[in-house]
Amino acid sequence: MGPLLMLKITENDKRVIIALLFIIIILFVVIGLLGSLIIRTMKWQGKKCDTLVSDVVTNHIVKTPHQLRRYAAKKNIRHFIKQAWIPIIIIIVGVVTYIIRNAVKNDWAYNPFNINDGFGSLFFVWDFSNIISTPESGIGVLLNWPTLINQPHFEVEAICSYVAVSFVIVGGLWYLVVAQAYLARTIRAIKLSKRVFEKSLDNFDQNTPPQQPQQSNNSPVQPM
Amino acid sequence: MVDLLKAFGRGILYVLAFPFFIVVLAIFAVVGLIAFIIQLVKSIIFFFTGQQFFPELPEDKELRLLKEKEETKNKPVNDEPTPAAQVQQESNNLVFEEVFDEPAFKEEPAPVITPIPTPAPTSVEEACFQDLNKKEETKEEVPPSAPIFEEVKEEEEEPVIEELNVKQEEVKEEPISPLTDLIEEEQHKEDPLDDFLSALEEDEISTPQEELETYKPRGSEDSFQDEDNDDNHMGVDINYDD
Repeated sequence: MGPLLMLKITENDKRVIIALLFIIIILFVVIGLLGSLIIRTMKWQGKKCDTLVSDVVTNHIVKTPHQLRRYAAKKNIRHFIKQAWIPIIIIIVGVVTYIIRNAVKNDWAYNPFNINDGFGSLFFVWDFSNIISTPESGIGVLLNWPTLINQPHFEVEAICSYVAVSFVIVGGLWYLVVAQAYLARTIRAIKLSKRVFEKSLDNFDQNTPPQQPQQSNNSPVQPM
Repeated sequence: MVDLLKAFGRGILYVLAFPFFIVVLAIFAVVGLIAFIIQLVKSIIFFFTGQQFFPELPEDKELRLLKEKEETKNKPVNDEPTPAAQVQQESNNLVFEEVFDEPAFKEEPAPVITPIPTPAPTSVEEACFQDLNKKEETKEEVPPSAPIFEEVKEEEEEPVIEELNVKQEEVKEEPISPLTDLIEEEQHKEDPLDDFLSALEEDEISTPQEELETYKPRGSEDSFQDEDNDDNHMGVDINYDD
């Protein structure tokens, strides 16, 4: 059955399948590269944890992995709060702008993304609803190109939505980056708590005598 | 090609792990937001109780104490340079810098004047009235010696007077010169007119007043003085009563 099925595939179908596979491979490669980039960024963000806890660790004030994790968690959350107050304030400003606009106009059903007096007026908008017809056979047919229903234009009444949406988007992305850094520092602290207090016996041999401390070069030469 | 395949495999893994990553990230974002709100409430309480925004952790406190101990151990005694030595050091540094910066053809480098550092005033009043305060301070130092100064004045004045008196006495006790002797002799010589008058008194010779009067021209100094002194013969009589 299998070879018969394969024989039924035309040359055009083969080309289409190869093209689709190629696109999928490219897509996953791009996703892999983006993931690698995110991981590198998180490693770089996690290095801050070393700075936060290094003094306490090097001076042997923290002596167990549990103590290190606790201390690192406290320092991490403090650093997160120091980094997060700016994006949070930006988000609050956006939300307050939206609330004030709705309160002044007494319009609590206002959609800030609409294309008439909202943030959507700044973008191209197409109508895809009537381009495909679905006959009884179930196969869609492309009838026409989508019609353009909005061109970018500035609307004075939509200023509040511009401010609110842009502030919320910027603040939200900023806050996500800060939260990602917090996550990265936490992961780094867990790794450090395992590695710093790790004791290895890989190069230890119980039969070899312990090494004598080396004499310094400045020590006087004893007479024969 | 191998790297491309590795990236492809990682892409598949990341696509599978991405939802979990998003969930964990959301959890951390929410936890962070809750911590932020709690810290905000705490900070309001700390503000009114006068504490720090982030109180010192016990580990940090222990570290601080440890560092302070090490600093006190490593700190040598009398190692702090004096202000004069610091100024000297600064001036030395400046000299080296300028010598190296100057061109090679200059034989004698310009003398370096280093300003002596003065303590900066802590307030406007101090900056404006510092000199006045200094003067007042110097004045305040004087009062214990003020009465002594007056006594000294009196003591100084008295010797001056004594010196003057001594000088006067010295002038009085000076020996009489020969010229004064001659003058005195001349004064003590007997006047012939006096002798004549005394003889007349002795002989009780009465002579008329007219004979004794001598002629004096009118307008001379003596007659003028006499007319002035004598009210009866003053001026010219313009009434011609006589």
